Amino acid sequence: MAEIILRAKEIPSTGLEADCISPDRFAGRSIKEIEDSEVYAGNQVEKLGKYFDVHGEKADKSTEIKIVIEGDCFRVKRIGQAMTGGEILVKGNVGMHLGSGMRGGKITVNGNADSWVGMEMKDGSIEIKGNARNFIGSAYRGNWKGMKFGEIIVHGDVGDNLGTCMLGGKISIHGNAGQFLGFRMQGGEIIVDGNSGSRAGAEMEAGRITIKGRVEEMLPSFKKEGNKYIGDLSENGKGEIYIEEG
Amino acid sequence: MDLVIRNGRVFDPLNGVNGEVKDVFISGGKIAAKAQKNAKTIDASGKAVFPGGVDIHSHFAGAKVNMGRLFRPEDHLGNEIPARGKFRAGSGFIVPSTWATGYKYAEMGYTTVNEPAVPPLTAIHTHEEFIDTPIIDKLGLLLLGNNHQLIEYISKGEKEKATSLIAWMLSRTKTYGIKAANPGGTFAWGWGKNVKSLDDPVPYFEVTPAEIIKELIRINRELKLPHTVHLHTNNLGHPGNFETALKTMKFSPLHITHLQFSSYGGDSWKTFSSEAEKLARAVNGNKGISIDLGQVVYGDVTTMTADAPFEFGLSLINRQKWSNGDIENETSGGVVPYYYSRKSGVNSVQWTIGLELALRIKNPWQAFITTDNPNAGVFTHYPKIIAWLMSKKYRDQTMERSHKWASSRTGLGSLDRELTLEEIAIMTRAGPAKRLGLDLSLKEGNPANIAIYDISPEERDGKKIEKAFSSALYTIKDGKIVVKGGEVVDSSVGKTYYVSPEVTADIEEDIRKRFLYYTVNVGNYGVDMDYLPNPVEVKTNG
Repeated sequence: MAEIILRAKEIPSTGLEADCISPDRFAGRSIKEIEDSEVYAGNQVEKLGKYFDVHGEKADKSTEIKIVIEGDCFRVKRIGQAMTGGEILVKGNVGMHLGSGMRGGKITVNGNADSWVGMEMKDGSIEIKGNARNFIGSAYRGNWKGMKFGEIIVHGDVGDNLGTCMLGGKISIHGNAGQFLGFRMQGGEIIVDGNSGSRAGAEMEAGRITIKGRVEEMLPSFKKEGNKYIGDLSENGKGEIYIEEG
Repeated sequence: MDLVIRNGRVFDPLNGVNGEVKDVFISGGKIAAKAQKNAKTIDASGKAVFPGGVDIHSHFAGAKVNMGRLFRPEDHLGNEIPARGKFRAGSGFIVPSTWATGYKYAEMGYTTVNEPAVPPLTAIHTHEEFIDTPIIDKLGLLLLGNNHQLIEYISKGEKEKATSLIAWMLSRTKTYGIKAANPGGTFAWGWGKNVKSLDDPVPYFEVTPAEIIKELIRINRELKLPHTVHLHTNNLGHPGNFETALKTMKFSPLHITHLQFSSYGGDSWKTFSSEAEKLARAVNGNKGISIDLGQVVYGDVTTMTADAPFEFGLSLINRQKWSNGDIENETSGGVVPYYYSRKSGVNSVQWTIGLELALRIKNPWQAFITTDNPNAGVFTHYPKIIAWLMSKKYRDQTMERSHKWASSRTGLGSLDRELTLEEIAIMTRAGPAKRLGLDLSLKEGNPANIAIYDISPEERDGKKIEKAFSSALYTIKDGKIVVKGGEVVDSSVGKTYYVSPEVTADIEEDIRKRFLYYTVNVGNYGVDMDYLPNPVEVKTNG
């Protein structure tokens, strides 16, 4: 596997939109060409090389590429967007829209991630060793089709609206989750090892949520059968929520 | 700059020019009789020279259109248009932002676009978006089929006051003509109801849609408005509604818009079928009727109409988000996203209907190409529709990939007609312009609005036709080259056409009383001339 290393220099505090950081976009390009890839800093088009030192070797196929990102990239957005194969390792933190619309491959983050990780992802896997913020594996604002296949694992805690409009795939959270877990969920599976905030499964139609800890407050529109809740009945939903600690 | 377009095949149907190789001269922004000294030459040999495109029905500016932008952020993600030099950034594919809309129309060789649904109260919003939509010339039709005051006048038989009210509103809002969307039905929606047929009276008023339509046609004639009444029929979008459309065609002159949505047979979605043949026959037998297609293009759309009860029904069918707008005493509107799927029987039949109408209506001066943008398709899909109409092979290919109802429940497969470039020129520019009462042909002295396409009259390759009409080689607007090779190279502020007919009856007191029930003062109602950066008044009774 060809390794391409990006070392962050000074990232503007207003953020950087860098959907060019993806094995698909790096495939078949020389290091010089990668440095010349376009990124948006506000409304200005800049070159990737202005913000990152790029080293490594060239490869022709995305599946042969591993991108290693060093330094703090919490303000770098859209890394791995729409990628179809290959690997990305982020050693520090990472910004919004990590792997959104991704179709294959693997992303690992050793630090924390901002919101919208794996938004509307079609396939592939994402692992976050730290915490992640809101809207993980969900649909974009206004859309009603969230994550379809693939897997997201977060070792820490997550924010609100995880798995909004999720259609399929699996999300595992080892820590706690915020409010509106699996909002409008239509399929797939969410497992939370810790606790969940209120309104879990609101408007869900199908799919399964397992919460190993407590739920702050269960919605009244679910039917209780032992430790299983079926709903959301306000949507004639047949989703299932298992709560181990009742 | 003065221009000479040399050796192009010129299609100028209004002046009887059909593909003759000749030169077109431009001087001072207008078509000229001969070449000027130092004129720049454009070599158009082997290319087709058309007047600029005219879209007779496209929802592209105003409150409802903006709702379509606001409540579909997902349409903007991935459809960003970056700024380029002096050209503004934008976003959106189904409902692009204002600047992008102007650029996209120009890139297809269109230079005049009609916004067919302006609610009087929010006309100022429409004009504000007109200002921000570059290059193209604009006009707006005022929604008048469901106005409380007008319906009161009609029910009391106060004809002169009804005429004057419409004259007053058109002048006040700087719009161009009369539009009625589900006349009576949208009014009934104020009570959560709808009307079912032309003779179904609106609640609390003994007025039927038929009476409203008749009265609007009378007023239109009396005010000598340049366009006919522009009608969205009652009962639109429901199986079996072709009978309503057939009855509506007894009233004339009339422009029946997006007829596709009114051409449905069967009595439920299960027995749904196309009745395009019957309607086309009715159009063929009635010179006073013109229609536009409202052609369905498979894919994602945002439906938006002043037929608010229809939108409510649609939102129940596809269980997605729904926006309803109540425009006080005047009208209401709704917005709902929709997806036309080639795998759906109903959608496939809908797809065939527009094409069937276009091919069965014999006189192209009566049928114009639209998608009821963005209801049945997006305006950037017009080239695809032109390709389906010009190439049987191309539409057969799409038919094969559609649900089997497309062939079993419609007559499209039996039609061999392939439209010529002249017919396309009529259906996309000369026809709509004439029906709107505007002379936008290549006559000497007219504004030089011209589109040059890389296409030959023999071309029947669907993909090539689509490409040629998607990106004009040149678009010339008021004598200025604005598009070159399908890319905008210059921008300008377009004209706004409007009318100001004369008010003859004394309606001031009635209007004053009516405004007790408005959220605005009558002094703040309407649109000042400051909002028309480039106004062109068209003559009426005044």
